Amino acid sequence: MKLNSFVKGILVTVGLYAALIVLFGAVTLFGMVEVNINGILFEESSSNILPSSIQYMYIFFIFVGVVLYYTSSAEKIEETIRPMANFVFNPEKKASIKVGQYTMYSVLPFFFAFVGYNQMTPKFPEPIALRVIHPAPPTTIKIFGEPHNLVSLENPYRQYEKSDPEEFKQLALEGGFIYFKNCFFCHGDFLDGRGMTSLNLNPVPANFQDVGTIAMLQEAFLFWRIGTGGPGLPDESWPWQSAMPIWQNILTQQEVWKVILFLYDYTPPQITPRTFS
Amino acid sequence: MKWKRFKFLLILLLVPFIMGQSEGQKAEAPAEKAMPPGDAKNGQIVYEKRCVWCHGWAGAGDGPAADRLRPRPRDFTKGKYKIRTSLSGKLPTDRNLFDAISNGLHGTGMPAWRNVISDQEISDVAMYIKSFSKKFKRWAKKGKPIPEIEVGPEVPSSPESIEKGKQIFLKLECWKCHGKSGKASGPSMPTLQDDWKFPIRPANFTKPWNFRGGNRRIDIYRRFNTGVMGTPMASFKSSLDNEKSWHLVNFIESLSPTKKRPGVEEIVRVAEVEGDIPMDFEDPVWQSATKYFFPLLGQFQIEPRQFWTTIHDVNMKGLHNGEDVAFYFEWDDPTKSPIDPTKVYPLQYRDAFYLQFPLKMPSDPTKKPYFVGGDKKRAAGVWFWESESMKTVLLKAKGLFKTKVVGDATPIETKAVYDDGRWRVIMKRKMQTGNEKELQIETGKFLPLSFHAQDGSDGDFGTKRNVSTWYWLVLEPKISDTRYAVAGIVFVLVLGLEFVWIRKQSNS
Repeated sequence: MKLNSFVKGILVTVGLYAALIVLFGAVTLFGMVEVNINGILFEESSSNILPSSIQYMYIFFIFVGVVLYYTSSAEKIEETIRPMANFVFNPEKKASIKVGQYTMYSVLPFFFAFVGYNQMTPKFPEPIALRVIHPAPPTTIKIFGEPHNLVSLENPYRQYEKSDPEEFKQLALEGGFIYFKNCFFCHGDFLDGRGMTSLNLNPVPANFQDVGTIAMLQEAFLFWRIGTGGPGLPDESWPWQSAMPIWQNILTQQEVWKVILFLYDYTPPQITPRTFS
Repeated sequence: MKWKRFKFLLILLLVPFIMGQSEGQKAEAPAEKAMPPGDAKNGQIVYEKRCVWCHGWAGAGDGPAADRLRPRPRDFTKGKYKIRTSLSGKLPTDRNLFDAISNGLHGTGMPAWRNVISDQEISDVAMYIKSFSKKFKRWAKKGKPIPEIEVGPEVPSSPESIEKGKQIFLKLECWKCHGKSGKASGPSMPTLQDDWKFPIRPANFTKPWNFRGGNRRIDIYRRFNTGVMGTPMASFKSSLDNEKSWHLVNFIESLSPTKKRPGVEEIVRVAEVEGDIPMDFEDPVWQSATKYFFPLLGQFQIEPRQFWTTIHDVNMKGLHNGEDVAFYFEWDDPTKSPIDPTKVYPLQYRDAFYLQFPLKMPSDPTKKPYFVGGDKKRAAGVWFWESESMKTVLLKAKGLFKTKVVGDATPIETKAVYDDGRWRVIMKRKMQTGNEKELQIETGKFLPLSFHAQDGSDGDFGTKRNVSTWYWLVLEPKISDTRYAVAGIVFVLVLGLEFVWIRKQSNS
């Protein structure tokens, strides 16, 4: 069977994307699982490897790549365009193409009528505002009434991890007490951002089990985010919308550092604070 | 050769479909999977990592989170368990414990652990928590299985069965706690305590997603036959038989249109109507308006905080006629506050509802005031209603502690009604008031809105409230019929062009 390059191009695009899906086990488009958060059920993608936004990005790149390939030389362009030209002009007067043409002639008026109707229907789309999820931290910031340099700031309790593991265990446990008195309502028993209130919030609470959150950050960044909460965010990160409280008004500085210890201690071992050394 | 390559592509295409299929089936599989035999020793390790935070190291339901949860976490030392298949007064079966941990207790702080730990670990924990009460050992000595409720042949739902169920509901006085409408608003509700003297609320039958032990028909059947141990909910087995039980199940199911919690939309779209907007809740104009559902959560931000939600959600509708705009709110609240103080609820305040907008139309609507009552930079304009005056006033809010009434604000016409566990409030105002101190509402312009609500009988006052973050509101104009004409003209035009083209083609 001889396939012309137009059909081939489509098949290659779809095929590459399908291969990608198989490779990553990412079945976003097809597989949905039901999740239960305290009795509230919702559907989510069964894929936990590739977020759908990244998959759409891949599909776009594959498409662009295929288009580039099939327009790389004059012969290729000619070969790609020929089937389209054959369909429109039908130089060999084939009956099968005629059927296709008349099908198109009967569909087109409806299509354009719908486009016109749609254009005339006023739409009120939500104002577009992109939220920066990981804002750049300021270098110096006033938390708990004193200025801190976020670049050099370190968790004062981190040293015990090596020097006094017993003491460290105790401090992390105290951090756990603080977490389960204050944080777990939203961030969840499993620290996965799926607490009992999580479905009522947009943006959703951070998932600390994810390798893309606290594992990418320095402890000082967490200190800033916890200490100043939602309202401490810059405008591009929607300080008015985040439900994260300003914890410096509720907890002490020591308590915040302990809860940070707990976050890294309670999550899998590969989740460790980022350091510059 | 070519065909072989093509086949390869076809297979690649099909794989995701097949995978998707198997995923789908997995999701639908019921919870009735086999329970692996558990090991209490390993269970202790899992328990001390995952469960102690609420249930405590000695299983007494006194972990660090306990005081901030309602209902409180289970105290395992008493051997009293709510969700069972066993007869009233009996211990739960191993399976009951496994299911409770696996599925969680809906609408409480107990999550569905099957999301995050293995069946083996769940089973191990189930074995370990039995060691907190001697009752399990004592029973084990008898060497007998725990007697369970028998469930007979099902009676499918029908209007007759629902009516019979209703008669049973009235006769057994279920309504005294659960309310005649099933909204947990019965007259005894304010006195209800569990065996540990903590306040406890009866189930709201109109919100089955919060049913602690699940909302399948068999779950409901079991609940009133086994009773909910440690609470005022007794077993009604002696007054029921299999057929009556199913009638009651059918009646309870009939009280809720849906088992799933409604979805949450980001945008409230307010449609235009002609003529005056009625202030009557039952008016067909309101009945046919789109209903939006918004969940609320505790006010965690500002001390004193609210750790559990007392009002879980609010429903909203909106209408405008080009001059006036009106909002219709509806939410469940078991009491019309304030009520006479009881031992369980000694502090009594009024119920309240806060509809938050920015104080004035911002030049950039994507920049909003803080959702908890505004902030210094951007003030919120709050339409504040409370149940003592039954009136709505405009508040200028620059934070929860910096709030004052705007004296010369345009009046907001209000009608509020409480009936059997539900508040309904309509607020109506001129869209354009000409007063620069307040919000001017225009068609087609997006406005941020959010909600706060308080149940005064449950101690909500001041900063103790249930809140939501920002959503959008837009008033849509009536769409003119010119779009039909445009569609018709385009249709004829394209058809004409096609004819010209076809003739040209056949001529050449």
